[in-house]
Amino acid sequence: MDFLSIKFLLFLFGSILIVYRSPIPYRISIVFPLLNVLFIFTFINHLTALIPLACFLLAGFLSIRLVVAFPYKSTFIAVTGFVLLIFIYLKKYAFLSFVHFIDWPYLSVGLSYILFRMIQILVDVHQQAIQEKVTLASFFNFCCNFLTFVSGPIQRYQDHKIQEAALGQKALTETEVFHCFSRMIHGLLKVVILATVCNNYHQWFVEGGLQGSAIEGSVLFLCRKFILASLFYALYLYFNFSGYMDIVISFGKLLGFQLPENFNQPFESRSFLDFWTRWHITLADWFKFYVFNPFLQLLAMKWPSRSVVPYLGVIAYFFTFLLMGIWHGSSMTFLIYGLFLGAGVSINKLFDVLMRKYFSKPYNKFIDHGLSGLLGSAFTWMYFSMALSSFWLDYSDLIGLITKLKIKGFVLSFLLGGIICAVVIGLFRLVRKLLLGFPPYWLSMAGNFYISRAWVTFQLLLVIAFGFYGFGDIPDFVYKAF
Amino acid sequence: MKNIFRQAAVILIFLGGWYLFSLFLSYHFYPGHVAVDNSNTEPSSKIKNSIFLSDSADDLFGFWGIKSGPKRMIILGASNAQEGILPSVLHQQLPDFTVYNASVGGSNTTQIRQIVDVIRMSNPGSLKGTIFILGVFFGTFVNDDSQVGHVLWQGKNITLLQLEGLRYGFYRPNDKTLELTINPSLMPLTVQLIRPLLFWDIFFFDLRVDYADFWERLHSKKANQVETMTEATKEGAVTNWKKLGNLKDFAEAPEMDDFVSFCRELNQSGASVVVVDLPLPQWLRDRSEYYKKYVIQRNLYLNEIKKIPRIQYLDVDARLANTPDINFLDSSHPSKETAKLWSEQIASFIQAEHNSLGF
Repeated sequence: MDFLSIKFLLFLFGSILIVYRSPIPYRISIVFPLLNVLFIFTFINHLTALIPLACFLLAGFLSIRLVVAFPYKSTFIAVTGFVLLIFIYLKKYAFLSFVHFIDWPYLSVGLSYILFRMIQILVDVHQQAIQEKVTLASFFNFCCNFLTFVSGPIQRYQDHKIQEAALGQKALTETEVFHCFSRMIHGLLKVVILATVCNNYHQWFVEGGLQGSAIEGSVLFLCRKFILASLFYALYLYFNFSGYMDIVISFGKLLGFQLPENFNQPFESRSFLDFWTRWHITLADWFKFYVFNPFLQLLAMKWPSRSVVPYLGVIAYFFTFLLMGIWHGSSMTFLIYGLFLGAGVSINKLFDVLMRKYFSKPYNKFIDHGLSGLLGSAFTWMYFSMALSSFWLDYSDLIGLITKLKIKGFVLSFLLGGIICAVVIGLFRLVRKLLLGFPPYWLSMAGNFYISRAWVTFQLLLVIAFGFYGFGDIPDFVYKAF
Repeated sequence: MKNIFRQAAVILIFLGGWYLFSLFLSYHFYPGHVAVDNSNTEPSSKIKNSIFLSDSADDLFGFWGIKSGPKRMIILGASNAQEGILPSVLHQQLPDFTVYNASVGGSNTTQIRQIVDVIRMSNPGSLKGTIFILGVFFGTFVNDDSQVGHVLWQGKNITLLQLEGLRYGFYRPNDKTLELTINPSLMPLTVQLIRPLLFWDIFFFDLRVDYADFWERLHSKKANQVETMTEATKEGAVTNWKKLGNLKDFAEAPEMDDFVSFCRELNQSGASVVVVDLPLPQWLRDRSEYYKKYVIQRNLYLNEIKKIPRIQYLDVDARLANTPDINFLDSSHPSKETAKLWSEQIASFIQAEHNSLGF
């Protein structure tokens, strides 16, 4: 289903009507699963496209039952490995080129997110953090919740269960409802207008010299193109993904779901480590709980000295983010993305460990300084933008660019791009400070019933005007592909 | 749930308010609702009185707002016809005619034919009393696969006009033609109803980089400024034309035949036609293999169209004894003064040939 279609809008409001009007006992067992099935059906043209997804879900459900029936470590490892293997097979990873894949078209949307949910239940059931029986309906509703099916946010099963039980039962005030609509429209504005414009400019710079045989010119010329293409892509991704989250989270709220936030002002990150507490938060948290922590524990068991633990953390960070990068896609470029992320966080962690060890006082003073915060945000954003080039360059173009730019070119791009980011973020913060400095009277006007509704609907009018004309221009959700 | 639907209703009411306000603004700032006509003294690429922003949209929607008079002249062609034939000058010399420049950048015969289809749809019936001025040059005879006015959409090669039609949803491409998706009788009203959206879209137009493709860069960004034609820019222009396709596929019998049959169709609809061969700079004529091939091949269509009644051919270049290179802004677009000169020549020619053109 196209998320920016009338069909989707009708589905949303139809589901509100159905959920609120249906008898409470049937909401979880019948109504919600039916809505989820209906939603999934909108992605397919033929029933056969659902077979792999159905098998994957069934394998996941049976694995949970096996872990409950045979609560041994070996069972847990075997079934988790089995689920992972099915996932890798269905995602057609490039390194499995020798394997014969299913040759009919099937639904792969949401597979990664379903895997995260399955592993979370498996781990928590194995560790007895989930004690109650996981029923088929609950499992299906959790894995295929239409609100989070495509691109998350990744919710914990326990949280999902609590909210599912209260589905459509919370009476929202008019102000709460308006805030939901307001956020939804704000999300649409991000997805339809801001993301599209950023993507257009990104394409402009890519097509102007960063693709195929067009990768020519001086290092400075390529750096300029690379910096601008990278920054516009990162902005595009931010608006695209966070806009989608705004729509999903606010709509979830209308139904009574309190979905977790996935973004928390990533432009305010003071370091690359801080960035991952603000960007795709639920994914980073998942990797923290289910990869980083167990891996660090494993390393700590092997090298139990307390003095080495911070350095083991550096290794665990590298491994976790390498894996997270690889998760994003099945081609070789995502290995490079993972290496970029792994290097970023581990160098950041190592720098932090060493500075705290040897220059504790001046370092603490330095990180509290406003300028270091600004530079931290700017260079973090630039580094992340450069890492994202794996998303928009294919393997040969990426290698072509690396060959042309060499380390010198990448360092130059990082420094120049960082300075550009520092100026832009600095200006953004200045404008925000000025706006917040307005007399309280003006600020209170924004809360006025008529002004707030007029402002929100004006945004909606702009979205419709842009979207109406922008046929074919508005990019799909990037994370839908993962 | 009541609160949800109540707030949704409030939002719809406010949205309705904005819609009406925007409708008012659209009429206030863009009272004209016609395709580029002779009230424009500027070249038609500088569309200022239209809310439709692009030349293609102006044709697709502008003609639905025109109550056509008995005598009208419609200029068709690519951007050099858009820049080079001024409706105001033609109207000055032929005041009985209302003159429209409906040319669309990057047009070949397929796209020109589609514009005529739209004119027919918006004004069903005979085209009697209409004179079509077809501004041609070698680019008119590039085949559909290579033409700059074509784009790939869902794996199909479609024209910019078809793409523009798709954007609004009121037209859909049907092979090489355009089809209306709504009842034609509703179209004049629909065109009025979308004005509020079009009004706000004006602010977004420059943000649409998809418009800044090769053609737009050549046309919109450069066409109205004098470009310093260095050796490198000249070579660049020649190379750009070469990129369009193979010389062997260009200006061959199918393209020429298509043009001739198009002229025949116009004639059968009761219209008169003036085929105007538009001048090109000498440096391009010397270097372009496309131009040289076109000069050889054009006799193919000239011999045929001369046999069709109410159709005349005018070679502007021959009439002016060559347009000096300095009068061109780039590889094909004339300066405003040159455009005036060309337009005067065309008007005099039409005046002189009024009997054979049938008016």
